[in-house]
Formats: sequence, structure tokens, C-alpha cells
Amino acid sequence: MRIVVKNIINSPIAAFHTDGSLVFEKLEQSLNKGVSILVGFEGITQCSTQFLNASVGKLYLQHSPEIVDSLLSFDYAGLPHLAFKLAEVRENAIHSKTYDAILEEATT
Amino acid sequence: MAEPTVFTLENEIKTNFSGYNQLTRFYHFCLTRPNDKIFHIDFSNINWVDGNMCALLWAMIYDLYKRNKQTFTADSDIIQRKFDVLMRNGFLNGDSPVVDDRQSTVPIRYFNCTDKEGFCDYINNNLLTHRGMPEHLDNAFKERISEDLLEIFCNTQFHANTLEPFFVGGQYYPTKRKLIFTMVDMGDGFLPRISRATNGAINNDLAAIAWALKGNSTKLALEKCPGGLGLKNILKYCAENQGVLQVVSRGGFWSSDMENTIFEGGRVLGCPFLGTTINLMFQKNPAIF
Repeated sequence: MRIVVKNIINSPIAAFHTDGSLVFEKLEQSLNKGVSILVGFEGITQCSTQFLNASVGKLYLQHSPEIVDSLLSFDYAGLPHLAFKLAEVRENAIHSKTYDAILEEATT
Repeated sequence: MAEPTVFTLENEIKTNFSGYNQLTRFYHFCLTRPNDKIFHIDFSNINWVDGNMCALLWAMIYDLYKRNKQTFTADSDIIQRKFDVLMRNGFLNGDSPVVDDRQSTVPIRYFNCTDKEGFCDYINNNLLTHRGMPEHLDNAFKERISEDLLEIFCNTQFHANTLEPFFVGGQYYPTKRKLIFTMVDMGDGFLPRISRATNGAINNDLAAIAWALKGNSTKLALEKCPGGLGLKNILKYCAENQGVLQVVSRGGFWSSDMENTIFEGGRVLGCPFLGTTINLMFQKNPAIF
């Protein structure tokens, strides 16, 4: 399955948390069904980490990284450093989950 | 017609603790006189104004008009003679078209906090192409800065809990080869949300700023969503390129160039303004310094 970010958010600028939430809903549906999904960034001229955190990062909080990595792929289109940002968002989300778990264990 | 109430500015208004303090004293002077409707800002006693600080002054004037219906005047002769930068950057130009023949200003503007297209257009066409920006910026680097600034704009839209405009503006200082860019939101500031997210563990403005700069984010605790990369990345860029990041949130003033000084950790402002002001200082050619 393929989704195009620009078509979902109706803008070439993927910026806000609310933009990311729209994309997250589509990704979440696919992951829950075990369906592979390709996320296309064609037509996107700018992309904030706030958007990426809300759309992709949140997936890594709610699912195991192995499952997300196996089902999710990206077409970076005209944004050459997007791969780096997505890696950063992924890392940040996984560490957030780890830190959260440590805190929860430490306070019980 | 009543005589205007005069507020006299003193010495200089630079992008530092002292400059910020003076403008917030002006704001509180006017705020605490709600029955005075016309104020005259006296520029005769000051010898310098950092043009980018007009973004903050404009936010203050906007808020005072909205709250108290207060209006403001200044002596146009003094402005034209001593501070024409306030006209060249569009802050005081009346109906005349804005002309910056020295190409040293980044226009003072405001954006609706949902206008991501307008903000990005302004950043890409007014800031990143400015002659005062670092010389080594290739397109990939410009994209990163643009997106980090977009992150600050997005933070206002998400975190600041406000629908009020977002004020911006910049100034290039050729003798110092630096460009300062100022962004002002009129929201709640860092502390309220961070205090909630940390169950009160973070309980003052400076601690909230420090917490955010480390890459922490309230989104994890409050929305179960990761966050916290934008401000941290901007700080990293400044550290790697001899730039300076200043964050002023309500009563807390923090600047990256105060680290390793007696003011490491920040300073407390006597009269806080609303929301958060972020000042970025870009060094034109870091290799020289």
C-alpha cells in the first residue's frame, strides 16, 4: 500500500502535530492489519520534526521497532536529508519509550 | 484631547538581558496605567536600537492595544535622524513603501500561528537569502535551518496555547558580521505545560527552559507522542557554528553565550512579558573567529 503525505494533509508543508496525526491514523491502520505501507513525500517541500514525531515517531512508541521497521518504508522524493531526520525521530522515540519504562519501573 | 503619557527609553536596546529588561519595563509601565490611552515613546535619550528587537516591541504594543486600547507615538524627526532602521525594517513606516537601501534588515512581520506557508515563504525568501547569513550555507544546510525555524513556529502552534500572532524580524550587523533573528510568541511560555508534564518537578521558568533545551518534550507525558528535537537541534547548530541561541520565556532569560559565566543557567527578569522570545545569532563567517 502507498500513501502520499501531500494528499493527506493538502499542503506541501508537513509541519504541525495535527498534520502528523492525520498521517499517523493511516499508518496505524496498516500496521494493525500487518500490511506494508510506503510513505511518499513527493510534493513536500518542508517537513518538521514535529510532524515526523506525530506521524512516524508515535508508531515507534506504540509498536515494537521490529514490526514498524518491517512494514514501513519511505520515498524521500525531493528531501535528501529526510532519511537522517527520520532516523533521528526513530531513535528519539525508541529511547523515549525505554526511558519511560525505566521511570515506571523505578517508581513502582 | 489628553496629553500623551511619556515613557523615556534610556541608553540602548540591544539583544541582551538589559535590552529585554528595558522593553519589559516599558510594557509594564503601560499595562499598569490602563486609563492612559495615548503613550509617547521618547527615543531622544537612547543611542542604539537593535532593529530585530522591534519584533518584541511590536508584540508588546499589539498586546497593550488589545488589552487596554492603548496607542503609541514617537518623534518622527528623531526616528528618521537616529533610528531609520525602524523605518527600513517596516516597523515604523506609515503608508510609505518599505525601502531598505542598506539591505541590513530582515522585515518585521507577524504571522497567524497557523500560517505555515506564509512563515516558510518569509524564512526562505527574506532570511536565508539575506547577505548577512553565513557564507558556507549550501542548500542542504539552508533546508535544515529552515526546518528548525519551522519547528519553533510549530511549537508555538502546539505548545504555546495561543491564537495570537507570531512576530518575527531580523537585523544584520556588518561590522560584527552577525545577523540576529528574533521570534516572539504570546502564549503561556514554557513553564505551565512543563510543570504539568513533570508533575510539578519543574517549577520555575529557568528550569523549564533548561529542561526543554535538553531535548525533553511535554508531548511524551501529555500526548503519548515523542518530541523535543527542534530546539535541541538549533542549539547544536549554534554550538557548531559560533552562533548564539537566546531563549526568554516569561521571567526566565537564558543565552548560550552565558554558559561558563556567572550567569550560566540564566537570569530572572524583573518584569516578565508574555510567552516566549527566541533570538538566534548567526555568525557570517565562523572560520574567521
